Amino acid sequence: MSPVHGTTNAKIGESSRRDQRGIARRDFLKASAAVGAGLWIAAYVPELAAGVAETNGKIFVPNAFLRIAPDETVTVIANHSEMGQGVYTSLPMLLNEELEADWSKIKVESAPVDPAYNHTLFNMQMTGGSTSTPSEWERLRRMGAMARIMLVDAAAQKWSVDAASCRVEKGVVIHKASGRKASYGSLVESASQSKPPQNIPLKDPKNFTLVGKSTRRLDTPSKVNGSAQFGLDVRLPGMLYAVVARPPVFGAKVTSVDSAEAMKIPGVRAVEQVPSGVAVVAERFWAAKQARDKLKISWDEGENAQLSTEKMLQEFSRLSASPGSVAKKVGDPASALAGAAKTITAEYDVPYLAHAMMEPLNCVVDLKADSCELWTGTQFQTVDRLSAAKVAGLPPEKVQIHTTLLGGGFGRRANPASDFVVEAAHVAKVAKAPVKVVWTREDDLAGGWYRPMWHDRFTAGLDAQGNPVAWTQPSSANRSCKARYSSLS
Amino acid sequence: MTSFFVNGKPVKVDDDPTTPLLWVLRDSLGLTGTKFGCGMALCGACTVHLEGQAIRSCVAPLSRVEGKRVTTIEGLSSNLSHPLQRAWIEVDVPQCGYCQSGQIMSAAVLLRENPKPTDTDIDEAMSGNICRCGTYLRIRRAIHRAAEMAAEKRTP
Repeated sequence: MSPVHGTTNAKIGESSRRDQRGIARRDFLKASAAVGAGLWIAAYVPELAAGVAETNGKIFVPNAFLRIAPDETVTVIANHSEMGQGVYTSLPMLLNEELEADWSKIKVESAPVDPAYNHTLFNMQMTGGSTSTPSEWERLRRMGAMARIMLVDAAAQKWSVDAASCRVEKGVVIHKASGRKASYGSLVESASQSKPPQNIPLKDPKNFTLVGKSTRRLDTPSKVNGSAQFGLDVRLPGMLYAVVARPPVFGAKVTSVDSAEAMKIPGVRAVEQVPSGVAVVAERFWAAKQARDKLKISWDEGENAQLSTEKMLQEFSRLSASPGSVAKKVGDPASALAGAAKTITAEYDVPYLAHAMMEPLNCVVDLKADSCELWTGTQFQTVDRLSAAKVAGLPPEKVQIHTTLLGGGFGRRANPASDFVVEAAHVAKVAKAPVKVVWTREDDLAGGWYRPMWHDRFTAGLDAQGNPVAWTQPSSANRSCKARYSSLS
Repeated sequence: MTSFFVNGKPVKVDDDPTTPLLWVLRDSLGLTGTKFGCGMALCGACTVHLEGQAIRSCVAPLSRVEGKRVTTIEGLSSNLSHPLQRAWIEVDVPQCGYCQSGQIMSAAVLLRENPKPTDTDIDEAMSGNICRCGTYLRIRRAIHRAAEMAAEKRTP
């Protein structure tokens, strides 16, 4: 029996199984939580990883972030999305700082959605705000150290020596006095029987050999020969392609669709209304796009049709000149301004900005009666899973997300309403087959969820010598953001 | 049916001849290394070689390649041995990586026509390839490095 236990998620995993030493993983976790900084309490092995281990008892799965195989391959499970910032290299660096495996044997895999992979600060699985390293700084080092301790214990037991007299070099446990050596790969089976350590000390940062050193990215080879898999590159057997005709005005509703010409395009399978517009499903992307161009759709454009950039900026300017709620006030700026020798006022506008990732949005969905699998480059796995589950009418546990590489994120792929995932789930319902929803560049730029438009009115008061004596800065943005965003939700 | 050569191999596809080559490569032939960025020849992510010349496959109809030779990023080398691939790895060019197939395919034509390009030559030749991560300076450095590697190979 494998020492790897099923999930200890409090809701579903109450009956913890016991390993050969009779130590329940749940008890181990309690002990771990007591000694650790509390960051790695969620280090249990989720069901998916446990499945891997149980089908092949020869893989060492000490925790949710790591697998070691007999061929020395070390697979680091990355719980943050790679969108160019380098986490598929920096996260393994953190883990391997303590694991001390041969760096050339490190592989990276994206994590499934599971509470084990939640951000340590935000309590959900996500990537954003430049927080991946702070989130994992301690946890991944502990995960690596935990595995190293178990591997060294396994070797020491085999040789009947004190574990403290062994050291590790590039994934090889060495007992200098006797000259004995054992590679991590050769210890996989025995380490799987090792007792998880009660105490996991970490290196003093001054002894780091990997962290802080310039290290080439692990994902570069795949990005120079075309093999890197982005969401748009996912292909499933029998997969169809879809595009969606979205409203010309945010919040507009379809009043009628004439799909007669669209259906004449060879390869078109279906034209169906979905909440976000009209979906065109075809055997190939190009057919779907051609067909979408032939659709004749009438829209009820709603009140947002009256909205324009010019009007919004005028409104922002008016608002910034009138009293609003005060975020911060120091001293008495009004009288300081009144008494200033000179005042200067300047208005600044920042427009709505599309994130314009190089890889347009996309999402592959395989929806079945009792399961839903998604492949997409997302920054927001927990939210996306919950959102997709709602559309699919399934419990969240029945929805799994395969996070691909992201051709840029910039926050667009961390969407509180999971817009591109929810839409794809709706399209999957009408496609009745695995389907890839592709956004064209035009779809992406017109698709909303922009970085917000913003207006600032700065007023500075100067004294006779030209030194600043007052500064006021009313800003306006939220009302429009709110209107724009609520129209999309 | 349209017949042409991709990375040295003969292929036959039944896509509509007006279909852009990009989608034939990606969806019909499964060569997904060539990327879709804009569909209007504005970003360069879809760059491939047609008879050795860099073209934007997103606006090249399939009919244009009948009987001709197309090279994609997958055909540049079978083992990362092309000087551009080696230089890209050495200089650690890519970030998100989405534009890099197109960058490399454009750079390959530049180096063939100009084995020792200056910064200005590089900037001009590469101006049609957008990188949203802003890896331009490393791209430039890697092209210089690849030029050196290719020169070393020529003078043993």
